[in-house]
Amino acid sequence: MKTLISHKTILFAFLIVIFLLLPKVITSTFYIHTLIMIFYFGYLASCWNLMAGYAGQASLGHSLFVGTGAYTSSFLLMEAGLSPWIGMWIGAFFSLILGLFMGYLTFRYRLKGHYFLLATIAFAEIMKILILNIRTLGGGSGIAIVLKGDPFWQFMFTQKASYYYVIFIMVIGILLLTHFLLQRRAGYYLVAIRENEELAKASGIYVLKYKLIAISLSAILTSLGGTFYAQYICFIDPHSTLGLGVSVDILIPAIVGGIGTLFGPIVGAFVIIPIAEIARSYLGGGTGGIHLIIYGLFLIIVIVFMRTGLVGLLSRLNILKGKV
Amino acid sequence: MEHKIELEVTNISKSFGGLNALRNISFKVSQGETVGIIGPNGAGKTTLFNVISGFIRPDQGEVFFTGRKLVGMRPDQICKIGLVRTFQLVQSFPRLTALENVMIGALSRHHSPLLARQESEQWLDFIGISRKKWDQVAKNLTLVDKKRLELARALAADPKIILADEAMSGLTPTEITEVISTIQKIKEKGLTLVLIEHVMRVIMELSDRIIMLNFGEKFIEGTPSDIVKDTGVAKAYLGEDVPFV
Repeated sequence: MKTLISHKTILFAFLIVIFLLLPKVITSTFYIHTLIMIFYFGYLASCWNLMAGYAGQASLGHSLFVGTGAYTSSFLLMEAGLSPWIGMWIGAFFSLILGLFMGYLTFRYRLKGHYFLLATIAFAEIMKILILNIRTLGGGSGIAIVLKGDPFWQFMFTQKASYYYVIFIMVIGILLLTHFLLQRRAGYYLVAIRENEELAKASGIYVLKYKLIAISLSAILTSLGGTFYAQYICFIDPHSTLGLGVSVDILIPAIVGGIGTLFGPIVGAFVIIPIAEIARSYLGGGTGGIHLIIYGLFLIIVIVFMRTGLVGLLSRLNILKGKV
Repeated sequence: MEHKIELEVTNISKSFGGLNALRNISFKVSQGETVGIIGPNGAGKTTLFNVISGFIRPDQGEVFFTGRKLVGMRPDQICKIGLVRTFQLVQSFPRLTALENVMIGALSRHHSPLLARQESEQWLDFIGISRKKWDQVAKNLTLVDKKRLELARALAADPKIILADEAMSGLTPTEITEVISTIQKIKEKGLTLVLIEHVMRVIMELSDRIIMLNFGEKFIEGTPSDIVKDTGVAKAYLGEDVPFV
């Protein structure tokens, strides 16, 4: 047991070093961009996984938190000159409030499974329509983030590699947080609620409280990802931050990699994002959506042949022993 | 010998639509006592458990447990003050291991999973689930082990009283004998037990007192020998005059 843990820790540390050195080796901006997108969606999928994979509350409205984070920090930056490093936490606070509001309403009135899913879509769509109609926030044309002062203070970098390091640290952060949460009582309780809610209640778990903890954590962390996106792309609009497509993109890496596993969402992102990016860059122009067909085919293959995701498949083949 | 009253149910009524699931049910359970609850299907036994354990709010009546009012409390709060139940259809956390299942119960009193783990191992030993099964996920266990696991999880929450809903259903006669001796061990620890049971052998061997429900009402209450003598009991079960047991 002891040696197993240290082996895993060594492997984990080794991977961290590799990924830290990667931008020194890879100079192509396209590959760096792909890596950034892998970690960005891996990060968001991990945030989603915390609530959907462990606590069993699958949401299709996580774009609500991406958009709230992106819009709050971007608006405060462009209108008030507030650094996104601070703005991202104000956005996270708003996302927390929204998450608690959405969570309380849905959990209190016992919306479960598909009904909960539909409710989360509704919340995200309401926010999208609101933002579309608020002129101060750019309405349908969005907000462009332009350099106004000191680049670092403004969360803007000339090198793509810098963004890479920021999102990589965020990924390490969510993995450590999830790992340590799972070893605490709260982690056991979240999984117990996913596995059997009625039995969880009978076992002394205040289910509503722990579901709200799960949605709060997930909302806060997802929101931070939203600010990262705004600062990296330098442009946000309701479609690219609050659309249903964003929510779908968030959960696909988790599904591909393995829902309810620590590394699943990241592994999933490593598989699915390159396919999406490469298919788009080689087949995207002029061939009328062939890249989407290839992406779709791959998803179908995963869903049909790997019900438990890649991580689940690997552990079934005994490549990864024990729990991942 | 006068025992302290631990659980007191007074005038509980509950109806679902037009169906009176429970009508004016009252009874008391003393500390350390084992009370069997019997009755035909649909008599209201499980509804009664759901009311006591906080899963269903009764239309009227009160439940007192060690002097505290239970009606209006949530199931998790009721569990934490020492009243734990098991379910008619065996329940588990299917993809957690046997040990983790018991830990969830123990965590209601321990903040630290490490402490909960140590204690859960003792309960698994006590309940008789062999060590090689501790790391198996609950859904792969046999029915009798799942039933044992429910009891272990309940015990790990350190209750004063356990309400066990059909702990024997679906078990073979040999398994029933084993579980009876396990429950006897739990009795010896001084725990109060309320058992819903269809297997008469179990109810007769374990109960100090038996309450029979029929169509949501308390039909009869007495010692096992009183119940055996009462021909009405057999009638309620079988609809005719037949020898009982």
